[in-house]
Amino acid sequence: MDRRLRRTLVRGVLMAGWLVAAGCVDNPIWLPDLDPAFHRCEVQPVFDNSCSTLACHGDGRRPFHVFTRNRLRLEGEITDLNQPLTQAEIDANFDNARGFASDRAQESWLLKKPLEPSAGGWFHIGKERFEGEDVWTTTDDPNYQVVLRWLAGEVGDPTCVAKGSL
Amino acid sequence: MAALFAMMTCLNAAPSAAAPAPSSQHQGASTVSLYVDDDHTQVITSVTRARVAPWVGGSLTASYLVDVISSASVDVISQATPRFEENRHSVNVGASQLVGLHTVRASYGYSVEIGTGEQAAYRTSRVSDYSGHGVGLGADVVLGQRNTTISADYALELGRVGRADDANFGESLTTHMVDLRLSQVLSKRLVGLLGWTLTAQQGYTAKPYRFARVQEVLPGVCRLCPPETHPRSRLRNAVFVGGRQHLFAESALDMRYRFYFDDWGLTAHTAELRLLLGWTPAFGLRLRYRLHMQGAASFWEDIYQQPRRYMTADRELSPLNGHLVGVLAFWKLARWGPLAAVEIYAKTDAFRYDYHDYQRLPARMGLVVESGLEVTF
Repeated sequence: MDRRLRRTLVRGVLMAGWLVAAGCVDNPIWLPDLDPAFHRCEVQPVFDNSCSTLACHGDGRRPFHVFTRNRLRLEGEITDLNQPLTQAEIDANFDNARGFASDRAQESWLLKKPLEPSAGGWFHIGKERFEGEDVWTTTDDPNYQVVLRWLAGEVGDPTCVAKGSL
Repeated sequence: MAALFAMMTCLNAAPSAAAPAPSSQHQGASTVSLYVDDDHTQVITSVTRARVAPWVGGSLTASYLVDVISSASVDVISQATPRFEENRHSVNVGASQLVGLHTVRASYGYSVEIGTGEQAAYRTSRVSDYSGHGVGLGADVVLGQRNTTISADYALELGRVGRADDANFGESLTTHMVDLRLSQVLSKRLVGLLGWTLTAQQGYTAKPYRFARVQEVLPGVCRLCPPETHPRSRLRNAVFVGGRQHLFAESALDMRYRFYFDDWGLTAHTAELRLLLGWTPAFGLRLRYRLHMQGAASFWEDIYQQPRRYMTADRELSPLNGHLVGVLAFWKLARWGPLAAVEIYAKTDAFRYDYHDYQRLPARMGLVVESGLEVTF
């Protein structure tokens, strides 16, 4: 085989190999760095009250689901439903909520989904099912502002005790 | 992407210089197909095409495709979402011109997917899941006493990924595609084919309906189930080599091998064998078998052990094997009444995909039944 042709072929094979080998996406362990205390004491009560019924985000099959007393629980018997949340449930709620955060706080699913479309929100099946207004009708809603403050990086008192957790 | 692929199909369907020169006849064609699989998905597809030859060497084409999709697949219902319905419409127009032995062509396509997502029970969506505008340019150059044909096509699609009934959700997806092909007559009975397709995508490559799973804490309940996040760019390569060997009468053997790789770490091998059997030009059969084997994207995990920057729920990025067998029969009738020619065909494909790392659906089997009619006048 001609030397030049052989060299070209070798280069082609090497380049193809490099292209295949280069096909690897850098994929570090990652979740947004948000404050657990602010979530536990300020944000979680909002989700408990507004989202966690069994027909909504108290259904574990929903991607965004919330563990709450008397509703979805991670473990235990039916007689234990009213027990305070376990640390595993508190951590799961915190991590799952962070999974719906975005680099740009106001673009987060946690804010966009429950917000009325007329105020810039996204489609939310909950509003359709219950034929009412969405959870937040404007961005001025105090609960919207609580979640926004958390997503924007606000930090809570690390010793705070969540309502109903004792 | 849908419009882009439809457009590339349209481009590649344009008359090749290696084929007989386009006649001044006009054509109309219609096909209907039904797809059904054991993952509770059904798709009815109708395609209508027309081609006119208004001047010597030139042709204008137009096509309309509609897909009616109904699905309750496992990745939909596992998120407490009922069956969804979606309609896809795609319109393509094109023009080609013979210049000596060579051909140049251009096309435009528009496609829109209108889904009803999880709100299927309530009303039809007013906002599309996806819409895209695409343009394409291409040429066939014939060389060496018509023994060599080099084809080059470029297509661009500007897409918008939306979500049913969600006017405030919208992400862009831009796709460039370059397709190069070489067809070489190697002997009186053998034609060789060589090709390379490069696709570059930039933008929102995920699906807003899919959610990744991180750790399973209860059966069917993940501890963390964030919206899937894909890298915002993707570079895809496919090279193929093939050949067509004439056997006897109107019969031939068609063999193709395709190697795919991309910068997400996914590689795939596809081999296809087609046997075309015909004793007269008026009637024939085509039998085919296709084997597809692919690895996983580098960031694929069925259930992630830790949350990652990129997480996907797309089972098509998982390692899988696929088998497809199919049979097609056609019948051509020359000069029938006022028509210069009539051709009808019917085909059936059966397939099975095995997902090696997708707990919720280890295998998927299905059937595609299609029939079509083409008239030339």
